[in-house]
Amino acid sequence: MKKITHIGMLGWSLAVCAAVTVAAMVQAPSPHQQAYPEAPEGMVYVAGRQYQPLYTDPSDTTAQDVAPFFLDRYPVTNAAFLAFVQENPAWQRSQVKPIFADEGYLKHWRGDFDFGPDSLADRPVVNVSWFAARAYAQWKGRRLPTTAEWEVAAAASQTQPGDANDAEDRQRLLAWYSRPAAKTLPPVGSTTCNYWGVCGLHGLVWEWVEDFNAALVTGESRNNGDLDLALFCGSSVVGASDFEDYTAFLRFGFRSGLEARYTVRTLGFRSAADAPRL
Amino acid sequence: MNTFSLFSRLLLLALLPVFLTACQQVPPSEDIASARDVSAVDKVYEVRGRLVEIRQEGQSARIAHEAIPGYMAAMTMPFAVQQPSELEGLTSGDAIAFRLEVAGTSSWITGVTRLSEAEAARLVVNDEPSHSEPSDASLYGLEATWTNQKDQVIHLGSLRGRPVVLSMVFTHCSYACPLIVRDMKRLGAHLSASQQDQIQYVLISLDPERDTPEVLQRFAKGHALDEQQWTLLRGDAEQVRLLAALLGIRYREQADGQFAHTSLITLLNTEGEIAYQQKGLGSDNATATQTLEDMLALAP
Repeated sequence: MKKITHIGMLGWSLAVCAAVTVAAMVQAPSPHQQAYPEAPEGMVYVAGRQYQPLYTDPSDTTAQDVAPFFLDRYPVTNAAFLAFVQENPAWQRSQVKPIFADEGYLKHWRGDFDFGPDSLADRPVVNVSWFAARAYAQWKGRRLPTTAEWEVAAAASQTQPGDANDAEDRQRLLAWYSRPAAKTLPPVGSTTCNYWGVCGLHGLVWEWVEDFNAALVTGESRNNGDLDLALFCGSSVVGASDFEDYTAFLRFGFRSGLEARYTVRTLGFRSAADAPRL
Repeated sequence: MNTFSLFSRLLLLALLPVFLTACQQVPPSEDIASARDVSAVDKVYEVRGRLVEIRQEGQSARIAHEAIPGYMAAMTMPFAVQQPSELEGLTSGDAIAFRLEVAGTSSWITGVTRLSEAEAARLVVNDEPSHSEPSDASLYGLEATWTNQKDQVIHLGSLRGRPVVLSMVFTHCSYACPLIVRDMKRLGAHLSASQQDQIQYVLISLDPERDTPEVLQRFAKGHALDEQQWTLLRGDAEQVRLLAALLGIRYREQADGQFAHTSLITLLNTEGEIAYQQKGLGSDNATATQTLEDMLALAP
């Protein structure tokens, strides 16, 4: 009788131990993060690396050197954006200046200060313009990520920092990009996270970047200021640097069609900040 | 004591740190320092003026200020306020003194005090009618200041009152930008001399790093741009990106330092609102010219 009781106790304590350890592992930063500078609340560190811009002059093969940075773990949520609007009433839906946002601004909200049922609190905020996203980031003492930074973060798979999105990964990403947008966006916490601990970069919403209007197709001559609005057709366009990452083309195409005041049902954002080099 | 019992107690004891670690909160990290880095202040000015309007719950104040010698002419413009609480008790029309702190191209005001009646009477400001708040669609509501080819600090609001022909270029561009300048000059070619005198031409650099005031001045001279009518401006990278976004201009720096950019000439009315935009190089400028004439006819 005594033995059974003690085995029971041991079994119970082992079970609790296992559960708690698992919980600790899930909540603790990934092993990579522990070696890096501590990130501000809600952000993770992304190491610097080289980035090859998508459209360059054919003779220009220089990759960009992207410095390390901090990036929000998740896209900005309805709840977080509400806090911003409450403190910055100029960004209320009924008050926003038309030059800063079009008629679709926060149209999915119930009111100026009401994003709807509590269940929507942790969904990514959408229907926000570049100006609004930027204002939010600045309010938090941060900024929007550049295209290069966003793409560097997006190049990471779940286990590798970059350049390791193999054919299977790319197929999976492509599958998401080809699906119609979900009517209700899932909570940000339900998305997959990559090597850096950045979550929901693929498969959730498109995201604003600081230099979205740097997405333009250059002409042949370096000094040609004419904007060539010819539709791109994936990797068959002259000057494309990487023919395999089709989702990067999709993002480029999407960005090049945006104007700063546009709001889109599937376009949200997250913020970034400078980080020290190691 | 039963060894088994002892063992399980020891096990629990050994596991205690694990339990505690799991429950421990990750210490909150410091938030990124505010953009207002007071340690980067390189210029401080004592300024006087008249408070026109408090905005954004005290975070911004529109002030008609006196000339700041060596820095800025007298004008009415918005300022970022370091401590909104300093504006408590102040209302539109109050005469105030404040300290303007400048860190690079950022600036803000602090140390706001009310002037005495005698001091208020001595204020020398550009008086503006009370309905002078820039409209919602005006670009003159932007707080950012710029530096012109004479190394003077300019606020876009100083362009108010005259029609503006504006574009964004970079000076070491050898193809498109000279053509844009040519197209801008052409817009006023058919107008009378007195009409032409009223137009303000503005070029804003996409490449503030290389386009210093000296470089802008050389460019102006090289293209025979009359300094009475042509204002060439540079600002920091963020405000250039912001203005381009407002104008709908796309641009990107390439590895060799050249910029790929939209060719776009924008006409602003006397209130700084976009009246018309002409795309491309050497385009048919009939509509642009007509718009310009209409604006000149309306101007006081």
